[in-house]
Amino acid sequence: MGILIDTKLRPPRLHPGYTTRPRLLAQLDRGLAQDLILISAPAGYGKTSLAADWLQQRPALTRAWISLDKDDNDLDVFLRYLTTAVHNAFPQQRPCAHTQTLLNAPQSPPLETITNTLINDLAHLPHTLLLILDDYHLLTLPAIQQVMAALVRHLPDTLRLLLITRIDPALPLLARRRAQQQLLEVRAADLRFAQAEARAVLSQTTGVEVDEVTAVLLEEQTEGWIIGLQLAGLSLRGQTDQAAYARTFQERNQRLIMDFLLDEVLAHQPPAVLEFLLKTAVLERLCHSLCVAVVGEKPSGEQPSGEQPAGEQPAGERPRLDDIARAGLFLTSLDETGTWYRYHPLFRELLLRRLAQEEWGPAEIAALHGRAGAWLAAQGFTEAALRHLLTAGDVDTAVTLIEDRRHEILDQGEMHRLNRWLGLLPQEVVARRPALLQLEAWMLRWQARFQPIPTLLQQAESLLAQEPDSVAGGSVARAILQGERDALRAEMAFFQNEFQRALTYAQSALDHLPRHYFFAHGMAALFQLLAQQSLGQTEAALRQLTIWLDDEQSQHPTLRYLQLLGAGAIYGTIGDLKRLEQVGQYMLKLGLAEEKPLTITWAQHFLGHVYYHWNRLDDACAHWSAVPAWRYQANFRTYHEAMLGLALLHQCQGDEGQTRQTLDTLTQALLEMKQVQFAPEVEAFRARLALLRGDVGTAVHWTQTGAQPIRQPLWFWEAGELTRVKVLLAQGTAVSRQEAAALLDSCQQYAEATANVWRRIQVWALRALLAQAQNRPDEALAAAERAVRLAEPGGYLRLFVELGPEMAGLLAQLSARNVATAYISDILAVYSADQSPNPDDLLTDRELEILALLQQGLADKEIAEQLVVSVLTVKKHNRNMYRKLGVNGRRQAVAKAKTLNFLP
Amino acid sequence: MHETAVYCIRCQGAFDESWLQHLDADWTIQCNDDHTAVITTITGVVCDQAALIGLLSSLYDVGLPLLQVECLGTTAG
Repeated sequence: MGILIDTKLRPPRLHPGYTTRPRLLAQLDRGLAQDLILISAPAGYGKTSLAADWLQQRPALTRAWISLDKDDNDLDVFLRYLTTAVHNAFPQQRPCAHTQTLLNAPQSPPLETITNTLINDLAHLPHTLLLILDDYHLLTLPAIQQVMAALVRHLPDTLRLLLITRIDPALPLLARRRAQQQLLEVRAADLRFAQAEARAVLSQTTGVEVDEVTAVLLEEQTEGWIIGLQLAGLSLRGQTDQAAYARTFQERNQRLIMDFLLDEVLAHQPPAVLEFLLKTAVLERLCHSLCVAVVGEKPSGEQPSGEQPAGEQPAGERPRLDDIARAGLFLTSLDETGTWYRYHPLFRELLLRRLAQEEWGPAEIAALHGRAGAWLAAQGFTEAALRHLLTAGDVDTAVTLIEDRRHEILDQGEMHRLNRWLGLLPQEVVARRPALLQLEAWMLRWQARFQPIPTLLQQAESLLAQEPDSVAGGSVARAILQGERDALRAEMAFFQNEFQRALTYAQSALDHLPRHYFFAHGMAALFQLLAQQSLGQTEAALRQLTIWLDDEQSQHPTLRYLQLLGAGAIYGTIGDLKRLEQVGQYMLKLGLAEEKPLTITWAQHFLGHVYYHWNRLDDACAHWSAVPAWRYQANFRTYHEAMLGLALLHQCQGDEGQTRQTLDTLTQALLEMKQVQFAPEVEAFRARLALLRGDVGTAVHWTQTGAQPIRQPLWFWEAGELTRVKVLLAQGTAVSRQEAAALLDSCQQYAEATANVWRRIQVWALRALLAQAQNRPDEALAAAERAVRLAEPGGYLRLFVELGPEMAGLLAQLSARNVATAYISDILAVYSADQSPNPDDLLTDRELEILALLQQGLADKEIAEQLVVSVLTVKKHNRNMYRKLGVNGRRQAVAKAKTLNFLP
Repeated sequence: MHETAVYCIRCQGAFDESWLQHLDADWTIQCNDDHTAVITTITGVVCDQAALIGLLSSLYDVGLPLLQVECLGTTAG
């Protein structure tokens, strides 16, 4: 997960001398009967320790703990912690897997989608889980609050929520829950230490028995506030007259007790400890070697600096973290091994404030952050390192860190991490670093926003031209940057149908990029392959594909994904449906195992395509229908193709209502996701479907007003030109046929040049229909035969059926001439099955009954009387029936039912 | 610090009804509109400072600027 620090996902460990508080534990136990528990009190009241003690004493409770930091006040980061914490509790089931895939989506889904998915995931926990959010008050972001409000409003039965907070959260119905006792609260008044408890704590902290007078005085002064008591206890150490000392507190009433106490405590520390405390306060989490890195090996008295207070001569080694923890200086151990610690948040805040007031200037404090950043970076805690480096103002090191790790993270497919890292940097810094500009280009590509990419690459290029080699990191770095640009340009050139240019770019990228940059190198290899294919070099492309697939390094998941994508793209284009099916099935298995929605959805689309053409419509439907659920996680192209497939499928099954609804959903989605470049394809597809239901008018209207989709390589659904040819043929005039002929010539040229068998089959089939319409039967048969010969190896059935009865006639003639008889009889079988759809599949018995009565001309009221149901029910049935038949009224319904042979 | 107390909070602007769900039933809300500014006065019992600050930050979240926060006295218990 990368950004996560495991220690955040478990409760801190209790101090050895922690005084357990049975009264409050019993209170929390009662809270389990409610679904929401609130521990709400100011800092320093022992909230976290109480919860940690409770959990320790109730080992049977399944729990998920999150210690929140201010950096977690980010929806993405917060939800990653939340889902990971839940998965740590249920490692087998991983109940929030779906939410996690949404977080990795290239474009953030709407908040509502995320929220609903999360609630839904949490509703399927294997058994009851207690989710603890510590320092909940740090989550102030409205988006997070909305998610939490929705979660509390629809709290699943198996979830108990424990919020530890300094401030009452803005959750819905908190007051009502309180009134109805659906909320257990532990508040400051409950957490306050009573006199007896206070005395125990003071004695424990001081190390000697504290007398009762002193205890009462201090309890009153601190109002039973545990951190105050502990500080007081610490400052009592070594005092001979405790009571007299305690009384001095009263005299100092003017000052904040906390500051006073801290002064007292710090004044008693040896200089080395004091320096250590102040300097390490910049760290959110501490371990020994990190502290050494930040503070330095030896106390600063031995370093050539003038910062040491006069008269203090520290000697010896650095204090150790466990010593500090043992001294009761508010250092909490976070793990079993005693490696990681953190200061009590309030203590740390005070130390930081003191650090800023002390003799250390901003430069020295920045240096602390800088050293922390360097250590964290070296240990691979990149994000924490970046934050320290940027706090230190050391932008250059931060930039270098991102630049050094960018390919590693790209290879892992963790684009969202890179995207967040980039977001931490000021825009003007990105603008002057070629590598960062190019990283931004990769991010845009990931989000399918190609338009700004060329400008970014141009900027990177001109920066490089201006800079001496040293600035850009030398010739190796330059070569890599060149390779990245070429890989990106190869893809863009390819989709602009500039295959030669794409091939040149791809080859240059392969020359410049090391092979172990799996993603960038793999992208170049992919587009080399696709460009070769589209230049008509199918043999070379297939050879290349085999070499690639056999490559030993291809075990890398990102590379394998790209290879399989390439295989699917090629096999679909050369009309090899059997291989495409194999690729799809393999990818599906892989994608499910790796929980990779990109892989899963491409696989489902590949399989949907194959099964649709083989007329296994139920299988096709099952695969395509699975894609919309991954709408945000999938490549938008995949979603688009699968939705078009589904619309076509519904149309084949005669369910025009569903067809329309599917396309409307798609249109809405492309507006929402700002993928309007897909709109012309959807419009063309609508025209194609209009033709299928015999609505030539709508289709013609599209040819006159609609935008023409861009010509696309590979085997995407909507080649607008071919639909246009179909419309022209349907218009059936001499002029329209002439136009169709010209268009087909151009389509054929493109299909032949790009060795696109899938496209060539369609071109030849349409040529056959055109020749037939022009009364040139021999030419028609010859063209039909070309189409059949090209399609037979792949076993395409639906492709011909979609072209209507004229095609069936030509196929029958071919068959009579002994051309591909077995194959053609398979196609014709689909035709006849389509012609006589089973009415039961479409309409219910009751709907068929009503249909018969409609044919008799009965009014709704009469039908209702005859069937002994209400008029409303009849109207409801009518509506459903109209939707299924794709009609708008009773007369149309009867007519349509007749054409389908549902009615005599 | 952790005593129950009655508070009177005045803020600038008008209350959204949906916001009432944050409040206990015995709070009173009064909205004065003297044609120059809408002032909302909320009076009620808060159980401690964490609750008070929670309430104030909710006001902040909905964008009602605070004009005055006054403690009218602690209540027994």
